[in-house]
Amino acid sequence: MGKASGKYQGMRLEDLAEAMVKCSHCAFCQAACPVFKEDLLETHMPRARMEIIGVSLLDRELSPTRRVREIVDRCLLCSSCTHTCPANVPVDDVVAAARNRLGAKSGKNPFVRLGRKKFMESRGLSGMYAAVGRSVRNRGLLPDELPPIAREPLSLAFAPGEQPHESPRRARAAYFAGCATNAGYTDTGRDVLDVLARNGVEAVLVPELVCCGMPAFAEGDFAYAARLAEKNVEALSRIEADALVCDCTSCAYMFARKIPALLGPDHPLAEKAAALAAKTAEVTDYLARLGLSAELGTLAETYTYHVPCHAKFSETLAEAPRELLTRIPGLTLIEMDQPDACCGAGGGFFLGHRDLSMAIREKKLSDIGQTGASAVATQCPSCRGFLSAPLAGKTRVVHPVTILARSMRRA
Amino acid sequence: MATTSTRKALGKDLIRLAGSRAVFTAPEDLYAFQSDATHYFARNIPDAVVLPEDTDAASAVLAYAYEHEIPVTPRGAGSGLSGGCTPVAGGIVLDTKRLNRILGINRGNMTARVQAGVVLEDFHRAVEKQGLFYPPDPQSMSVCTLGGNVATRAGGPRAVKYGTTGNYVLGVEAVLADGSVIQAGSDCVKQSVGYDLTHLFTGSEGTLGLVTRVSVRLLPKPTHRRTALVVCETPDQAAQVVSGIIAAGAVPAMLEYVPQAALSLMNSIIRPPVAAQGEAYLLMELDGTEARVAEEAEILRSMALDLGAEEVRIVEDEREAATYWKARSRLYPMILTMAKKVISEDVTVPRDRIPEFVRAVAEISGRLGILIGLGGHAGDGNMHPTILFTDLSPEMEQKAEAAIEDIVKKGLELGGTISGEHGIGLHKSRFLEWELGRAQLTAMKRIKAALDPKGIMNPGKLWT
Repeated sequence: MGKASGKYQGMRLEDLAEAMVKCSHCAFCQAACPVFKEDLLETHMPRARMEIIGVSLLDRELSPTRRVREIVDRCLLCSSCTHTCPANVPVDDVVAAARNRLGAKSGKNPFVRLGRKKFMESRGLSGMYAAVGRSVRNRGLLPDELPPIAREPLSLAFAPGEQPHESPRRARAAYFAGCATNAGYTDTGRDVLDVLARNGVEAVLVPELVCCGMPAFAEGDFAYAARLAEKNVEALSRIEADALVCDCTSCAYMFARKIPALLGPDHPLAEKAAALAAKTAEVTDYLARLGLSAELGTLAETYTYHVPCHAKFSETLAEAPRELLTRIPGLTLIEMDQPDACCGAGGGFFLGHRDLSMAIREKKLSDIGQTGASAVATQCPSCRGFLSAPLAGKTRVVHPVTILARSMRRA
Repeated sequence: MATTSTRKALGKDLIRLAGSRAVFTAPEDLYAFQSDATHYFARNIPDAVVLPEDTDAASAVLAYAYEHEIPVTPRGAGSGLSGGCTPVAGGIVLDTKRLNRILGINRGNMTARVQAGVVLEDFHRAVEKQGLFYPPDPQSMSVCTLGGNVATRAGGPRAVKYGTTGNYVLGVEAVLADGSVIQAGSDCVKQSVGYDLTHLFTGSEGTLGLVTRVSVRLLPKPTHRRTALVVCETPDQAAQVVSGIIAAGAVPAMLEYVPQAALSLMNSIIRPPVAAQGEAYLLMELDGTEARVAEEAEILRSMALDLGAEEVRIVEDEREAATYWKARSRLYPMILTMAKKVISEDVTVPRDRIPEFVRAVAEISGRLGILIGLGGHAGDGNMHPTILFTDLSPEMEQKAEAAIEDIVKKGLELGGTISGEHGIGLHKSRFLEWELGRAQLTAMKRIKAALDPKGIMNPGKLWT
């Protein structure tokens, strides 16, 4: 990974202690926590998780037992508590920092380590690794809920640099395709580029990008997350652009909030990271703010919108796809009960907590079913994969940008 | 506190009675059950936590605890403000969160039966889907449970027009200290059969038994709602407007007194934020038929302006209005973040004595030289003098104690009550006799001794 140092200066548990004592015990985080709502055990609510982290990892009143590890691990890192907290306690950072302190769990198995490293450093599997991945998948050895493995990742299918666009040019945006889009759901990436082009946005594809680092951050592997962040910040800062557009809400959350906090204010790249954070937007949020210039064609279809958990960092993100989709002639958007309730995926959380994730998903599937919509729109590829598997053959799950692209191609 | 080995033995017995899924005895698990929504009452972890999934399991656990004389602390969401659900004597926490089924909503009879652990917001949504309405909302409805509401006689801003939890409870199923189960009351709106044990359990704070099921009455859902904000020059003027509009026949569903400092905090949620130019604000919701809401809005406007209010703003946009109420429900936790420690009082006075009470609190604050914020449910006289600690020194604690005493005394002097909605718990027990008098307190203690002769139910609460 070249010169990148992996030095993170923010988010040490000790530094978060000051924020942790701001917890007033109000209990409002109970209502926000998908894990608590399933377990109905206060130990598994954010207030108690922080308390346990405090007594075992900061005050050392209690040794960090296996049960402590379990309590710390049984969190989707959905960030809903953080965005509900009246005291603005960054609970998700506290949990990630506790995982960092307890030591990353995976990485014992050298094959898993290598696979993970390759995956994050080439934003998904490609070449030989993809071929191996596909064959493992074809033998039914991978969960159905994981995104597909594309024949050709976007980073190879499109030449780096400026992409063609409609005139006049209204803006210039660096496009960051997340791992799951780059090498899995490539339809999303192609549709992002198509919609940006049709709306006069010059998209720039930047070479040398790596994973945004969210999976490493979530595991508490801060050194590796910081290495990835440094590499991305350096590469993206070399480009002049009005915006950094992500298709995935979690990548956007990472760039907009987590990377500056993780690197800390004294990191040599701090200023660049902050500048990138300020111009980061998820693609529908970006388009809703910019305004559409392309015409919309008729789509006589019904959709329901599942709000990804990591949309909550932006006040406008959850409304943006609704605003754009309801402008499409003929399209009906039917709201489900609790559209912003978690689907249970939590990135890769469902791989290690299958029963819990599936129980959370049950409610979501029932809410989706009750709308009678023929398809679900959601920006998060993890939600998409996790919801697609049980809905296969019945209800499609797509990124809202794909719906916009189809409408624009019909105009 | 029990030793590790006795705790393990206790756990084994409880698992036999309630099942392994329901019992927790690991210290890591017990930490979460020390406190409620206050942290200063967290003094002890319990020896075991049990989450029964039916009344039988709760009954078996109580019969066991009674036999072995183990203290039992009932618990709902753990969102109370009086220390009522904190296990000060150790023992067993009996948590009702998994008793969370809505057993039936009877549209024809306008009643509902729910288990004690049903979350209030879930219940609101369920009845409102059927065009019905359950008004109580103690401003924590996203988490608080119906059982907790019954145990504390929870109130909230709608009391001005609709009353509190106690006005809706028709019946309870409760497990007594010895494990026996009673079905008090019924689903009938009229009942005249012996002692009203339903309402004895309502507000009993878990000291007489565990409420496992509740029957409540419902109302038709009002067809129209409108939010209004009155900007006043002074707190005194705001208090006059409150009495004035109600006397003129407009009874808002909610009528909140919001001082300027509180409004500034709420502005982090209100969209678009309000220009905070007045010293005192009244936030209200009118509800009823379209015609009635329009009529009340007119009464409100003319009366408030006649009394010299600076502005009466009727919020037409529903989404905008929702941000005001979301901000109001988050106000208390936001205040908590402003000081080292915060104590919120809930002394309630007759509505027409609010101006005197407001002046008295300002005097107490000035005399002792400490910060006391004052907001509250002005419509029903339920005020929340809120003491903000600038430090945690013994002097500060002493001054806060003195302020609380003075506030409580003043409230009683004005014909008020020491707690409008939070309950007594640990927080107000030392003032109980001031309000009740020796004879009444003795009568209460006799009732307690009759129902719980071994004193295992929520020891240390109400009185020590």
